Amino acid sequence: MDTLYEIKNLNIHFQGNQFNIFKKNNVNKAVDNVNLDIYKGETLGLVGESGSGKSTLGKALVKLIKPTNGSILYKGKEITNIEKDNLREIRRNFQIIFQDPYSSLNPRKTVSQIISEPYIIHYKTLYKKEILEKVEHLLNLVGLTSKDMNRYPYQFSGGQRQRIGIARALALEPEFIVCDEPVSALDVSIQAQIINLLIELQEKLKLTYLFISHDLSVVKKVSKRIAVMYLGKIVEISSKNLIYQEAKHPYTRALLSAIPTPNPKIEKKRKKEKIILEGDLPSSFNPPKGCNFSTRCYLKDQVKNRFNINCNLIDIELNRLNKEHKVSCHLYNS
Amino acid sequence: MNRRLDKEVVLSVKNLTVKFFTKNGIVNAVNGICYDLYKGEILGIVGESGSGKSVNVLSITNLIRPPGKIINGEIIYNNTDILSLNTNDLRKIRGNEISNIFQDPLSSLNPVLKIGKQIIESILKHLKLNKINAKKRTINLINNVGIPSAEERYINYPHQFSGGMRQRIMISIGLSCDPKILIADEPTTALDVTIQAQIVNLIEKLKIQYNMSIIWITHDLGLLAGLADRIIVMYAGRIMEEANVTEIYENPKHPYTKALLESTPDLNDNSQDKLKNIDGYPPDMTKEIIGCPFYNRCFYKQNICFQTNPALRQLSTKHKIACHIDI
Repeated sequence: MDTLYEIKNLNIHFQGNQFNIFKKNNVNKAVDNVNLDIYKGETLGLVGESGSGKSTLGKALVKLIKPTNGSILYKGKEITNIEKDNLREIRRNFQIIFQDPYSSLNPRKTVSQIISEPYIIHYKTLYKKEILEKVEHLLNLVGLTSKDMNRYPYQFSGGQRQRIGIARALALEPEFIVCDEPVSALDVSIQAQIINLLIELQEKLKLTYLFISHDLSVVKKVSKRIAVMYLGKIVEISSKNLIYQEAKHPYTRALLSAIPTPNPKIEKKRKKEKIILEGDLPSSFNPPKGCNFSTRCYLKDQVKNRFNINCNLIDIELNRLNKEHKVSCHLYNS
Repeated sequence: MNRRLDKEVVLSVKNLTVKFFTKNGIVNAVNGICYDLYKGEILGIVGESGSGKSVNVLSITNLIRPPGKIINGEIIYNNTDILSLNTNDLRKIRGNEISNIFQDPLSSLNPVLKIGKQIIESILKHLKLNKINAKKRTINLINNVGIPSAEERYINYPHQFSGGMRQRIMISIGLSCDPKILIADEPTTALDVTIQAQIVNLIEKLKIQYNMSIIWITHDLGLLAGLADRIIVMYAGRIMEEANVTEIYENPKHPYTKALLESTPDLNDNSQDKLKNIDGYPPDMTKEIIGCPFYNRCFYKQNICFQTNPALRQLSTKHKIACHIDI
């Protein structure tokens, strides 16, 4: 499999209020030393709770956020510090679909203006008629019609707006699309439409997706591999089947057990063995020492007893369990 | 368990119709719905946005404000119609015997009041307690909803709490006067899944402790599976199906419920099949719908569906649907 993205030791830190002299560590480590490969043609699901840094990572991949340090290789080419004209040139290869179809479309532009903008920027020689033909083609591709071209975003429902956002992302025929929670703002019946559309488009156009979501059951439908993020770090990454059947990291296990399933009988059975985490996600301004999950981990006593390791003192990185499966937990660090 | 549910009706909604008179026309938010709430049960109301589920439960304590108006209907609680009560009598019920928890704890709490003050408010209003006892009760409540070091937290402001903690405070306000009925309007939608699991667990525990009946509104059919005793499915301001929880999931009779379940991604489903989606979009609520509101998205539609609106009919003792067709 060809590697499309190679992410090495990526750090993205946000500076907090610099004038607050009372706070020493005033840096928000949104993405903290992440290593990740994305292969051509796959869908990598990126799962985590709010504040885990999944959107920041996604935005860094499409160059909407500048990393603090580390490197992002796109097709073997370093794109971390690429700027201006070179950036514009390479940017047509990767696009992003945003979560909120209400705020990500300019309310004062018609649909055809929104979708033709990428062409105006990247293909200066195209005639207007040619652009409109392309827009029409894109609208048909995402299940809208040419009648919709001169309407404004407010005239569409949430699901239809998300289709417009998808059409815009597809305009420049990108290879890679970051789908940043594309269905979280939609109703269940519409959610399924958009998921199916994304899968269809991937088959048709040979796209690679990074599918960001907090919902493990949605991610299961679309992804081949899944990475789980917690507090800026990837804690587990594996093929889909391994994650759902043999999740190793205590956080992944808790996450899986917290998701309700639409089946009363199974749910009754699961209820007895449900893992309910205590407490909240710690602040990324002040992450815990050692393993960053140690403050909520229910297995840390087990680690202490078996290996005599204090999880809240000793750092842990992603370790390879087998060819596909990596996990960052002292329990599996042999 | 079901045998126990059969007995006592604590709340009964009859022919409730709510309309919103907006600039863009009259929105028919809730169209003549009827249902009962039994003692000690959790009644789940599920529906997509715009299905009228929130408007429906806001009407229970007469919280609809202009441009909305309750056109018709009765809410029978303790043999009286809540909608006919004057403001004073209504206040005795609101927050006391029937209380609400809302979706967004950040905007439901007052940002400039200490949380202790916000909880104690309804205790002082409804219960005949002096300040010292009321404070004791408040601290007990804060403890009870799982916030550690309650006494110190009593004087904190909402911004000093996380989302999950704020929802716990909302719950403690809801429980402050030992309500008979708790109305939870999407209480976990704004929260992460691990926090959602905490809150669900907490409310289930408290339900037994306080011996309440709960109406739980959500758009998430998965969440209700392990939680509710009975479920009402709403669409376009109408009740589409009403049944106990196993019936809804294992034997859905309404095409909408069926389609909704098929389009819900399931963690236990290992197939590679695509999700079945419901084509089209919900109807425009400002237009009068003559036939079945689900008509244009339904797989089973026939001529009659377009012509007359199906009434809610009894299939068995615990199962009602509003559909012309038996599937």
